[in-house]
Amino acid sequence: MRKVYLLSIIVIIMFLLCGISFVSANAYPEKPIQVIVGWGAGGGTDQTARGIAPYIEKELGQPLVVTNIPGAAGAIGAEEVLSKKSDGYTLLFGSETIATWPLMGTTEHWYKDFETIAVCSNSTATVAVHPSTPFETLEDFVNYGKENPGKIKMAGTGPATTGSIAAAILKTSLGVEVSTVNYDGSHAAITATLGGHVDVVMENLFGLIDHHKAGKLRILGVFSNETVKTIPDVPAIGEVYPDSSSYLPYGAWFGLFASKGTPEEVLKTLRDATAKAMANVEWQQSIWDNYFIPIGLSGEEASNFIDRWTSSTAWLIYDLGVAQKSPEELNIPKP
Amino acid sequence: MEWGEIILKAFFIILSPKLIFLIIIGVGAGIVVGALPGLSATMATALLTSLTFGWDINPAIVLIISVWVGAVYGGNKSSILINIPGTPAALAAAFDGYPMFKLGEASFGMGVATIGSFIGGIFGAIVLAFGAPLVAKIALRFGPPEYFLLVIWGLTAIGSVSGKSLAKGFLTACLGLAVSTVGMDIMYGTGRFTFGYVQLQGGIHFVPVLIGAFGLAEALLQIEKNETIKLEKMIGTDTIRDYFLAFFKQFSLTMRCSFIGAIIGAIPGIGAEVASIVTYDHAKHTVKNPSRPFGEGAYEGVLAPQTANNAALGGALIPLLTLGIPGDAVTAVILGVLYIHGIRPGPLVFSEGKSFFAIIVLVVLLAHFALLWLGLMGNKVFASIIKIPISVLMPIVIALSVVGSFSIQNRVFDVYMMLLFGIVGYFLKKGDYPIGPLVLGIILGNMADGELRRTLALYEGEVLKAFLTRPITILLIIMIATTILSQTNFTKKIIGTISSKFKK
Repeated sequence: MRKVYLLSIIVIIMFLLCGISFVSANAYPEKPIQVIVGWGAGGGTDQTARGIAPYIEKELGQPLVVTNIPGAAGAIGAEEVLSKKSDGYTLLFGSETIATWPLMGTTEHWYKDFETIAVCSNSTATVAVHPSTPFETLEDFVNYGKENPGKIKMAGTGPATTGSIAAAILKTSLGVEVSTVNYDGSHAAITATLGGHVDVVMENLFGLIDHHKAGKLRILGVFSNETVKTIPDVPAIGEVYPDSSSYLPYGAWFGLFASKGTPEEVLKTLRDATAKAMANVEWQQSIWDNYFIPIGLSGEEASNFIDRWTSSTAWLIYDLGVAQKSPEELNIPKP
Repeated sequence: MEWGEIILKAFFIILSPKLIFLIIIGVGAGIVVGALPGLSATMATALLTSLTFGWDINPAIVLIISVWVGAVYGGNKSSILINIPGTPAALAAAFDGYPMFKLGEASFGMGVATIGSFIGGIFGAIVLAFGAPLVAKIALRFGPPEYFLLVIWGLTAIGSVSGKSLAKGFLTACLGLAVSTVGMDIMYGTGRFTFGYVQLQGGIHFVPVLIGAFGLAEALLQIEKNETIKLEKMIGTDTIRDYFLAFFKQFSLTMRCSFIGAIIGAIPGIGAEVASIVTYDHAKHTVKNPSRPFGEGAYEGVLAPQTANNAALGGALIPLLTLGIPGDAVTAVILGVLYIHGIRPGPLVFSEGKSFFAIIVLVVLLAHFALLWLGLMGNKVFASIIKIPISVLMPIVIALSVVGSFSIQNRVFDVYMMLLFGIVGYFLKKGDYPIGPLVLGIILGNMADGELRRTLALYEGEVLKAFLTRPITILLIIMIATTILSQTNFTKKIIGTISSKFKK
């Protein structure tokens, strides 16, 4: 019979682990805050969320509990946050896909259903080719792509994701046309490029840099208007080709959100705490070390950043013909 | 640094009492988590991510890998004792394990499984230590055509896991394949069969389906029958010597399964679950004179998948450590843990941070020795779980199923899916429809679909050439052809006549 008691105790502990909530009405925050990440552990969003959490904890005096609820390009985690009370105790740590869900028909909700607390960091999309391809420089790649439309094969991760939008920027501004084969996530796409099954991959810098340094992939350029300080020898596409500069910089970004209806004083506390955390030099250095770029925008500034990003990206996606809705229906202004 | 120096240094790091203690505790806890139906290695490692967040990197990674080793092994306990796989990778161990239990050979089955897991795990660690760069190269050679054929080869195992009626097996496999199409389509980004429901955009995860169709369904059936099997039959008089004898008798099978397991584990996207089913199939086809017919309690049917799933573990670490690419759910969690601690595994860590690599190899090795010790010791203790009456045990199983299916992705939706497939599974089992093909269909269906379409997109107009001019695809086609042909009555007859002529 002892076994039974043991087992039942384990069961009870498991239930407790799943989360209990206490309700009372003191100053915010007076209990741990759950931060939901709509992506799996170890991805860019998760890394950024777990990376900044201790710094925000220090400001708020309450632990931030990071929970991964992956699926549907981050939308399932976001739906989970919206289904909870808007009391500031369940927050979303989201990525750039939050600005394109309704456009892609993923879900009706998007960043306008949330209050933006901060945009913490971003990453630059990067062009990397297999070393066996003849493309030694960015110019080689662009010239070949212009003259042989569709000949270059790219490993993508689905419509309206980093790779497909990066490719769309090259097509719209420079006339470079690649054909895309989609894989299940950026790891699979990078693996396919490492194996030489496709020619090129356009993913965020942090996933490609180590392969570049080890000589397994060759990075040709970054999707930005100035070189990234962590890899100064790689040219910025906007510098080499000024025609593309209006679409740049392009890349994933990561930010903290609370659902609409969260009380103003709670939002203020969160924004102040996050802004202080992002001002910490130690945090900024850790972001650089992992080949991200600290942006550190909070409140209004962060919302403006997302608005700008959305207007240029949404119309690109629409022009690609993969959008389920016109950006006009969502009141997204033309860039 | 020289390799000898690196290994010596790693040894000194690992041989601290604290880390040894963590290995033993980790493996022990892993075995328990693995043995509890519903709770899986993925869940245990995911929970540990938060727990070890503030730790140093060495103890954190030691504990997580040890728990993983234990959980992959522990799953066979409940497969054998209550016909419910403790983890997805222990699925195949139930096919012969539970019949063994009914014949009063539960402890023998678990003993053989322990030896198999130990040998497989050590083999995997050796492959990891000496073959990592080579195996990583082979894994990278797997493009869409290779993946597609590999998946088709995996699907041929439907025949082996169908039980009595192949037609019924095909039906449940088709159900599985159909379920796997639900969710966001990666090629065009559109939702398939989602009915505008966001939760379905994420697809139906196979683990909750498996927990429901095996765990909940079997619990419902056993509660319905409500007969507790008497204990006298449970503990055999077998000793550790018998387990080793059984292993030596099937030495070549064990080695083959270790090899298949390690390779399948190393290929990103396919893991221990597929390795265990494929090797069960392999054993069924290649073992000439099994101790009993397969499906009726042949220990070979427990040995093969258990060997493979622990071998897959060493294999799965290869792409993670050499390329920074996680091959399955658990390595994805481990990758996250490494990232959080500021280590980015990949080509650079592999060439520059060899001591870290050596530490991981040593942990895998030592954890398997801990597994052998704890597993053999705990065998008969575990067998006594059956003393618990069905009316108490099964409700616990159901509660664990709810917890386990929730914790995979922290989604209540997964719990609903578990309940749904529990009820579906209950009726399937009542109608004598096998559940194995259903799960096989769900795990492999999505991959078959994606890989075929990627092949078509990459080799437009030259698809046949893609399948017929690559060395690995030809090998896979031969494997598929022999698997299918060797099982048809026609070829069996021909082989029979030829061999009888030779005998004359």
